[in-house]
Amino acid sequence: MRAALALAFSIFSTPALAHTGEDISGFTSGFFHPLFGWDHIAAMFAVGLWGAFLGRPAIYLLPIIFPLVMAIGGALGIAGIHLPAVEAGIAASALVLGVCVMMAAQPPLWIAAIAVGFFAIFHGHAHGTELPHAANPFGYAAGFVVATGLLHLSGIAFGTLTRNAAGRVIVRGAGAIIALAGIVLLAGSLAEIGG
Amino acid sequence: MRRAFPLAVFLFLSASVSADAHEAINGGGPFINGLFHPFIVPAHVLALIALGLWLGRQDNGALRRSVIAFAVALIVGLVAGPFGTLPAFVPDVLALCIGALAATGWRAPASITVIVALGIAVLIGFDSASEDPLMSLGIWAGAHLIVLNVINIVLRLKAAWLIVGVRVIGAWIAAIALMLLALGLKS
Repeated sequence: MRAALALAFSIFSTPALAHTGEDISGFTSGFFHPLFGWDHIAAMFAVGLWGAFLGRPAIYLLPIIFPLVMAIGGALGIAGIHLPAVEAGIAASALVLGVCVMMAAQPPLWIAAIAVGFFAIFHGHAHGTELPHAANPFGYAAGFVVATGLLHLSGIAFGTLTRNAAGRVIVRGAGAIIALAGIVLLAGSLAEIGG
Repeated sequence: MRRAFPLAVFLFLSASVSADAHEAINGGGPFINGLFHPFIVPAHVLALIALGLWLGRQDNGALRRSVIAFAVALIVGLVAGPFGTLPAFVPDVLALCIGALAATGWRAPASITVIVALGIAVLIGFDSASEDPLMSLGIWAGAHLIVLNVINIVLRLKAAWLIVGVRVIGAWIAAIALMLLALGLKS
């Protein structure tokens, strides 16, 4: 299976020419776009981890809600509709979601859904802004949606450690690390805005 | 089969190209060109996969009637197609709606599933129709290849997390379709 996947990657890979304004490629560029940003990785991973604490049905509803709302943010980005402080919003998502994991917060599902959906708008906007420049917009859109979903899945898989006491400490520790990363990223974004 | 599914999805997404609809495949002939047509038009392939995901989760009776309705309505759409054109955004809207439906995991009554299958089939047929009957036959076969295979895979899924996975893929499809729609409307 691993060999088949490696073969698939090597056969179908295309050049990754990321960053706004350039003629970026298709699936591969879209797929790696969330993976090349620590802010995206931390927040997406935290969504999965938080799902583990929230239990059912949140654990599977959040990964369904997130891409749908993210696409709305993506559509805003594609349409060129300005959203203030996108980078700060993404960094804040890592901070807030990291704190939720650290605290093992278990709010009602609708509050969790609104929180995750709110931040999804910022992530989607960041990806969507680059989409019109893609040589293959379909591939790019599919790539970043799939990568985002796989990051959620990774978080959920890691979150299965919460089944025992030691594992819960490890997962909450991961939340604390994500929250710290969020503080650093948020400070950087705010400094950029201020500068 | 289950282990091959993620790889197949990945290969499909990796190999997919931009929307060069109605572009001929050199040397393929009209039937082969038609057969591949639903695979190379992003909105069509998304809508057809999502329809398969949704129908695969329905009761046997609703599934059987919907598949028959799809087969007949696709012929109607393909026959009517040469007499008009759909606005370019319609296939993206279809993919968005059926993807969202698959994401909800709603087990609908047969009357609803039949209406949805009819609507998707007529509009996709209408949007892809060719004046060449052989190509139209290829499109009909290609669309069924997608829908029936996806239904077949979904029907084999028993584990709860795999069924959740079906809904997640539905959400992914809706998300991709929404962004393609926004891009199409912008351009």
